Amino acid sequence: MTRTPDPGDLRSLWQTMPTAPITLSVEELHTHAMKFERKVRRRNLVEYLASAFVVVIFGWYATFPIPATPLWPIANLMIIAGVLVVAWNLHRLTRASKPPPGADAASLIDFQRAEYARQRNALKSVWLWYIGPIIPGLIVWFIAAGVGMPGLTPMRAAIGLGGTALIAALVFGVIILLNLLGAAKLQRMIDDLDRNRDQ
Amino acid sequence: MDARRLTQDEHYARAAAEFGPALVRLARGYERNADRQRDLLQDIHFALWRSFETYQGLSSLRTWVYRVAHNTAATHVLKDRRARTSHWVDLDQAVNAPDPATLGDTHAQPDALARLLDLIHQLKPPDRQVMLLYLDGLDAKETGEITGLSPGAIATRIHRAKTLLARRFNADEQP
Repeated sequence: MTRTPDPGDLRSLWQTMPTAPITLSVEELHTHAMKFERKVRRRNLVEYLASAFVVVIFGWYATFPIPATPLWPIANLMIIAGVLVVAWNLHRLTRASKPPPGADAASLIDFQRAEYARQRNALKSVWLWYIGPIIPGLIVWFIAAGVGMPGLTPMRAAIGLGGTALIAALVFGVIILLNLLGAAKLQRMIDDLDRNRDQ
Repeated sequence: MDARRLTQDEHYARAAAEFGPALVRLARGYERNADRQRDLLQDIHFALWRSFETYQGLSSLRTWVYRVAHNTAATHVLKDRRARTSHWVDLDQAVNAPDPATLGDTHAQPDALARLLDLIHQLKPPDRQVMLLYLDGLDAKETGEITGLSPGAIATRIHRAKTLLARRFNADEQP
């Protein structure tokens, strides 16, 4: 096996590799732009539909006569409000992942560092923008279910609701933990970039 | 020609004609898969066209094209969930790692260009950028303008890139 067909000049080997360059026509560029916008619109539509689904379900729950307490509709409305806040946050954070055209010419390290930092901050604060908005509604929801459910002894209600709350807390805990691990990995990548810059 | 007088479409046509082959090489340096390479190349061309909406000719066309293209490709790599990021190494680690071709690795490529691409794909994005810019013949000043690295960092990385190439390809280091 010949290890070096063109000794001493790998740059020449690289620069003379066979290529088939392309040029997009104006029509292709405009089609691409439309496709890109359509993709964004479709993604937004999915977010809006998911939110609308939650609004309908919890709005429907809110009309239930049982649990018989005024807290019940309030709790469901609070969850709806929380989910809408989460949907808005998702929309806002996803939108930010596409830099404006002017940012395209930022230096590579600045661009990548900003991208990593943005993702790290989003992951680190997931408890605040993803879980936090739902928590108040969920707590009131559990209280309303506990005090308003007919035929349950306080002990049975406490055990049932306590168990459900524990499962919910565990799920949220795992979500937060996974996101914090992701944030730590991104921080290592940021440190890596900073070391590169300083060397 | 005054860069500000050209329209967005004219800027793009000029850049595509002048840097077309370089953009193909860049896409190959970032993406192994042929289909995704084509997609990446189209994305780079599209990003380039969009970027000329705000281009005022303050930096050279060459620097601008490389910046936009590398940013687009780096975003592509960072967002690719299939990418085995844990296998990426920096230039320093790559210099000290054994060459698969000398270890009897059955996947080692006999073709120098394929081996070079394989080596590039193993590098972390910041080091990959410096390696690709070096191979494309850009000087240290231009590499600094494109990457944002300090002159000292560029000098270190180019030196490591040359050492790595010399070790892996048994070639003389180039000035």
